[in-house]
Amino acid sequence: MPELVGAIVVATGFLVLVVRDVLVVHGRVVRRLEESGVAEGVDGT
Amino acid sequence: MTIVAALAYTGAMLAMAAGLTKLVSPRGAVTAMRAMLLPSSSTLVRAGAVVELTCGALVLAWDSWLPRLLLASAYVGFAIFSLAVLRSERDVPCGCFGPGGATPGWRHVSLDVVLAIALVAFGAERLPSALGLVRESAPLGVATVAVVAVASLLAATFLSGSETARAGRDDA
Repeated sequence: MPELVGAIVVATGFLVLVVRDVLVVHGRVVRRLEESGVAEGVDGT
Repeated sequence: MTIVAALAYTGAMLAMAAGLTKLVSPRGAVTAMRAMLLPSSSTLVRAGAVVELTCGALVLAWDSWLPRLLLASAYVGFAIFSLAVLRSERDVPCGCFGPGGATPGWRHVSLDVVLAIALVAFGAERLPSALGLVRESAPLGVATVAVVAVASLLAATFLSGSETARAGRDDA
């Protein structure tokens, strides 16, 4: 049981890191699109 | 110490996945090693991949400290290689999981060091292997292995993040 809890904590930690990556890449794409004038407010704002 | 066991299992599964992909397609690792002027060939990479795969499997299946220490040494080696690539500032794909992939960054160095420390602590504490866990309690053992497999997949995704692996340097 303790190992299962540890595994869940580790998996959640990596999930947070991957989601952070996705958000960082999304932010960069939006910024580049806006800077290039291709689109404005592509993030829905 | 539960985190230590979970990290050690994750490191073992990650090594097995990396070993398997390099065994099938060693080109990425050969390119990375050549770029860093290290001796390399498909045969050499495949031999290393077999060792990586075997160590990972033994860490999961055997309670001995030996494979744990060997795999920890391998992760120290990966950390040193990643640090060397990082310092050289070359755009070398890490080749961790076959061709392509991210250029080694701080995430590779830090994760390799964390996994190496966890494997050493795992061996020193004489914690049970994943197979030992399954034998002790099948439902909990299998659930633990399943969650660790997900953690390993996420760890591999994190290491393969080509757009963000050197985020610290790019954003600086």
